[in-house]
Amino acid sequence: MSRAYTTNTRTIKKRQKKLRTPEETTFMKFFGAKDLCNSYVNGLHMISAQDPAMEFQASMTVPLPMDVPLSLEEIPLASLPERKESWSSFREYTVPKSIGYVVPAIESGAGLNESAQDTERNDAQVLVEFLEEMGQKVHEVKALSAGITRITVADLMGARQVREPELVMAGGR
Amino acid sequence: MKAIYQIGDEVIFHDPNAEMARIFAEMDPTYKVRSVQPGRGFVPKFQQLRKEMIQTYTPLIEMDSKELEEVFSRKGGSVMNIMKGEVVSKFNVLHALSLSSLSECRLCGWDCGVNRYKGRSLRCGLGKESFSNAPFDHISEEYSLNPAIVTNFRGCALNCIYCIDYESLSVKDCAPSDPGKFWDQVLKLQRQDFPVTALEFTNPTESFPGLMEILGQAPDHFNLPVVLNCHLYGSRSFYDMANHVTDVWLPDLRYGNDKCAKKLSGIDDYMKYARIGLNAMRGSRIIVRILVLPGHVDCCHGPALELLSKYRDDCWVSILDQYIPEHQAYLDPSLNRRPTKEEISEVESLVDRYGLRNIAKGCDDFWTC
Repeated sequence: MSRAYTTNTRTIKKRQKKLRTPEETTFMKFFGAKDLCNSYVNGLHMISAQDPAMEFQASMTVPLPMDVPLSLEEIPLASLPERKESWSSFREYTVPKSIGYVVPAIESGAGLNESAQDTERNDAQVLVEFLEEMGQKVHEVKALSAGITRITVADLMGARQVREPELVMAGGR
Repeated sequence: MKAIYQIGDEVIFHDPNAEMARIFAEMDPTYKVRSVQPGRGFVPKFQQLRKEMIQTYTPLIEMDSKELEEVFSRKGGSVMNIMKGEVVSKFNVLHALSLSSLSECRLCGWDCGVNRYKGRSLRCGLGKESFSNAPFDHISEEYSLNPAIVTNFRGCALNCIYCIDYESLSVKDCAPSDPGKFWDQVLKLQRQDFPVTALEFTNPTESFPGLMEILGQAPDHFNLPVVLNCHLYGSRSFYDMANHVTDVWLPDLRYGNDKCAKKLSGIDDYMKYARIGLNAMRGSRIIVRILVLPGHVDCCHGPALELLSKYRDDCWVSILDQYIPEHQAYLDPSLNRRPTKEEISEVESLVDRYGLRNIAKGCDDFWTC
């Protein structure tokens, strides 16, 4: 049993925010959508700015518009065809067929759990992207029990490009 | 392959090597590889043993264990003072003794007595040969050992359900250790930009003769301390031999009672063997590792630290907060989670309460005291 190095994904996310393009930043400012920003980072489904549900997703404090259906029965599913939306340099996301799903799910509280699971899953995505960006060859990403993700990377012995770490020494050498 | 674990917003890099330093620095600009080193003049015990010469009239291969022990206990001298008979180093005698032990193996706590020249032990899966993984440069060990060149011996007497190295410890479909290749790799790692502090062997108990074979082929100029990271389920005879080549003992004190040891590692009398090990190590530099297991603070880590308080002047304590429910840990619901921050800080406060030296709080005098 050797010692491990323990850290957290917050630093990677902070770093990713810094790397956002000016277009992305403008987009974020325009909507003032902190939650949208998070949902981008977490890879959640993006919802069109024209959708009534989007404001709800973007800011929980905004009152629910009067015309938003409150139960699945009230939603005319056939009138909501599947479509794709893309913004500036964002990836293309498929919008879920029924926006009505969002409302009852949040009301029942089930959506919050799902969101937490998504966040955990996407922490792993963020980490994988970061490792690949750092030149690591990701060999396998495996979900273990207890919500743990194991990422194995190839050992690149002999082919490494190491930035010399600052060595802090004490003792005689 | 290197494993990286993500749970919540925590990320755990298992066995990080120098290649990872760039990643850590990118994540944390204040990241530093910290190291407390022994000094250029350090001479490892095994190199001293290689220089102590003994005269014998019988070839070592014809001697039994008792004769070898008798020869080994003789006072050695330099080769120039011994002109008659066969001249061997004390290291060679110890190597012969370790090989002799395989004919009735009692290296670990199982005390199975299997003749490993004729077959494999059912406990560790090992026969006469040893198997080791390629050495790598570990940059996250305790400061007094960091960076270390680490190699794992395959084949383990324990069967821990949460073993994070279960794949790399299997002896299936492996080629036996190749000391020549091992030293080529070690010397290559030593030629890196930053100086290596120690050479660490993990899981050496069952493979002690293999360790001796490797050390026997070390270059004469090699002067890094040899560190043995063991599970504390070794026999007295193992420690009696290994003490002569070990500069730093790095035991994992896994449990504080036999019941948990049986349940989680499938072994009997763990505490008896842990005491045997700690007593045998007295007089050497010792760093005792405690891996914080979820839900085992009261039953295991508390009693383990209480036991260590009897050795407080002899050892340093290193608390590992890295536990991940790997392998078959899901079979035990209590183990199927990370330890909480409260559990980890409780163990750390117990270290202080028992007056033990926590190596994470400073060890600048490790090599001088």
